[in-house]
Amino acid sequence: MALLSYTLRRLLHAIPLLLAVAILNFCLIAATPGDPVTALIGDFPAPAEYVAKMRQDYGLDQPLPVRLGRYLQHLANLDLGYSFANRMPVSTLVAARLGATLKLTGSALAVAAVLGVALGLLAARLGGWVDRLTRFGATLSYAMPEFWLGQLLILAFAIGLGWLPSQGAAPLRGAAAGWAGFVEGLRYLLLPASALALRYLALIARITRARAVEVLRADYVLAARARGASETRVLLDHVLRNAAPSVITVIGYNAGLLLAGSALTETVFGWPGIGRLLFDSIAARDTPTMLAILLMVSASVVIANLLTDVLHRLLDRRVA
Amino acid sequence: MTALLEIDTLQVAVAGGPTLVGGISLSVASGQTLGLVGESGSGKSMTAHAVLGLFPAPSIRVTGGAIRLEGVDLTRLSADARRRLRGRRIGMVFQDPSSFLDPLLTAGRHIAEAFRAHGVTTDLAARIQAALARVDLPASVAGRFPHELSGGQRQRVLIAAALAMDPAVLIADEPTTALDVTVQAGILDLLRREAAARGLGVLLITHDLGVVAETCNEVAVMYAGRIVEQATVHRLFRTPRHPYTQGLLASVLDPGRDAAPFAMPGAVPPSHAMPAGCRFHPRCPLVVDQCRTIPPAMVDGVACWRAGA
Amino acid sequence: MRPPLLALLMLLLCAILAPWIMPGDPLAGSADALLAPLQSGHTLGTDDLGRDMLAMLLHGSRVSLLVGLASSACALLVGVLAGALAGWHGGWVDALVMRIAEFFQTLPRFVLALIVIALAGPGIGKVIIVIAVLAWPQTARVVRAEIGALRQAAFVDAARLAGMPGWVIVLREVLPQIAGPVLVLAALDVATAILLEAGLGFFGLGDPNLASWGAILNQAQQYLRAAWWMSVFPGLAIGLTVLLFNLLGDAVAQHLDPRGR
Repeated sequence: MALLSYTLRRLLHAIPLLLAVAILNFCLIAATPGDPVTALIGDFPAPAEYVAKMRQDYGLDQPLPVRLGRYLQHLANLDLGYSFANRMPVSTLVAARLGATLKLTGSALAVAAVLGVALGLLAARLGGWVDRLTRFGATLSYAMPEFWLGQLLILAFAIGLGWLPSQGAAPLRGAAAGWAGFVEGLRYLLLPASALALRYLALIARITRARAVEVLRADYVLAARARGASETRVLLDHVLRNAAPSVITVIGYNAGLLLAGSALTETVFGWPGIGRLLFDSIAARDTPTMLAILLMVSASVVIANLLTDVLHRLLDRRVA
Repeated sequence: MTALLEIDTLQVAVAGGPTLVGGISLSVASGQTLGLVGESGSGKSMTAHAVLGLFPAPSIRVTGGAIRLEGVDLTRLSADARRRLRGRRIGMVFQDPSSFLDPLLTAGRHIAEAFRAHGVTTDLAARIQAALARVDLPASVAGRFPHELSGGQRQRVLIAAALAMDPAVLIADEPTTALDVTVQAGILDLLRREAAARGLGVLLITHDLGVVAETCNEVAVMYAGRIVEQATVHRLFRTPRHPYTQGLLASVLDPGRDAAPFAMPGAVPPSHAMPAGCRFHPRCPLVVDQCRTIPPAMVDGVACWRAGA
Repeated sequence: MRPPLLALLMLLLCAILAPWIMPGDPLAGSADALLAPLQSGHTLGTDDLGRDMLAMLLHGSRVSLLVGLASSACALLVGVLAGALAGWHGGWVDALVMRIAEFFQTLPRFVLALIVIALAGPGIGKVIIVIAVLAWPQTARVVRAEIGALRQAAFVDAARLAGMPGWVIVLREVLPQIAGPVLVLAALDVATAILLEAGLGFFGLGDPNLASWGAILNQAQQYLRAAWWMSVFPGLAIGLTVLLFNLLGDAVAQHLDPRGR
């Protein structure tokens, strides 16, 4: 089947990319000024035996290619290294935070996608002030740094009005059970997700509107109208379908960035996710964790792009 | 024969700008095919758009006159009433089937769109098949995408969709211009046949006199937004009376003719710089003073001060 | 086109003249007005170390603009060269350059910038280089596509027939044609660079010796309840500057293709 062979080809194309990223990671460790081991340990006061063992472990006396090989081998076993600052393997550390990040960025992207497409279509269909307002709003939202938006939201809703909490994903005393817990979780999610979603929203609305306007001017839409199709039908049957590829590309690429796209927002809201972990690990100079996150995010971008390409192939039979 | 479609001193213009159609009157009767001939920029496509009520840009609109379909003035209808007539009572076929078909929808979906738009949702598969059969296409075409079809097949799909709801009037805007010559004959044949079978009134817009000769009963020649001559096909080709028509006919390449190819000097004036009086006068070999100032009225099917000459 | 250009001019003037408008080291705090709200003498308030907000904002503009303009210029240079090379030669050169570009485009910009600066240490030069390295692929792609298309153009054939060597053709005939879209990208690159720099500052990775808008927001995080001005004004500065460059890019794009609205 053509689709399968395309998928396999893309996969083959993606593997060298992933490899290149891993090698880049390795180079970043190796190129860090100073001894790689001290770079890895950072300011953490490790006893001399640990340091010696690390040197041995990392085979620092071995030539570079061998060290690279061992690094890649570790990766293949999903061994992302050891975090001295947190005293646990990086993989454990990351796994614990993954859920929180996905909850935040996933919900933000999902909401932004639905609202963004709707807004873009509305702007294209109605034109006039709705269109101008949407475009203005999108340009404005896109210019604002997301962490500042987060702070503004906190100032307005958490401090100013006191309606919503400003930090964390759950109250300090622990999350409540059942339905009450779910609603509570939503209260904590609302502000950070909004801060994050606004940027995605602006992007998606913009591209949807641009494509929708093009399609609405197309000859085949004129022909559809000549057959008596209503504007609603035109939007649903022709515009959505033809605008979808561009929108999917944007959503797909941002889905790839889901793991790290929220680093800034998580920091502002103290959200216990990967982004926050990145911030903490930079502050603590916890190199293995930093690099593991870089690798994860890069891998997720490559995979997301792959999936997007395959999705495009699936939807557009023209590219046979 | 009652007039199905009556265009009465129609004027189309760009809002606050040049006039594209300067007051034309036409009528198409049931079972009759009227050819509307002219070069690019003559306003013939705008006339078609006006009948449908669908202009390519929002600033273009009908600024005068009436368009009567089966007695009802379309220009006075609400937007929704207008929409309901499209496809149902008036069908339109366009020039380039490649760009007028949605590349992401199958041929069958296009035809289904015509049905659904007017509330017909039962037995769609059978109806689509029937529509395809009427344009000599096999049922298998329904599941194919435009890029999988040939130019001629695409145009047939468009025709099938336009005729799906059995309209009374069909407007064909340069239906064969974008097709290979060998395919053209087939399409024209199809249009002629269907028009006769359904008693359609057809408004055929074209710049190709050969097409007119083959398919039309009546012809109207348009120049710079106005009709300069109107007659039966026979009479127009035999004895063209307007200098522009004469020039058009003389320009047709004819291997049987001895003389060198003829080309009318000058060009169609742009819509924002129309000459006063008779719009053709700058290019006319018979021009006199009256032509430069007073636009000629349509007398006995021709609008020319020198018609008797 | 004119309002954004005027705004840009004003911004550049502020940045260049900052040491004269508000002399002294903006980072030197004073104990007499800690966390002071807006008042005379401190138009926009002070931060937790008694530093005047307006002074920090003015001086901070220098960092933002420097990083933005410099990194965009570098990315432009590299991008145009790489894209021209790939577009003109085609073949394996094209494939190689595009693969490299794809690699850099896949890397998550912000995360990578964070990590490189975290490892290499802060410093404005490093920030400029990192941002430029991550931004050139987009320009390269556009340049490559345009040059690839123009290569087939008739006027290029005419030049070739006239005996013009390849690189002269590219320089004199082809590059001026692509100036437009490239400028648009450059403006957008500046905007992105400023946001990146602010983000780095927010994470505490800016140059500690220079006032930076992002860094102020970092401090603001702890004092949101006490001093809203520490958050609002720097953020506004960043937002407006980024908006300015986005609008400039849009204006140039509009100018090039007025019907594409």
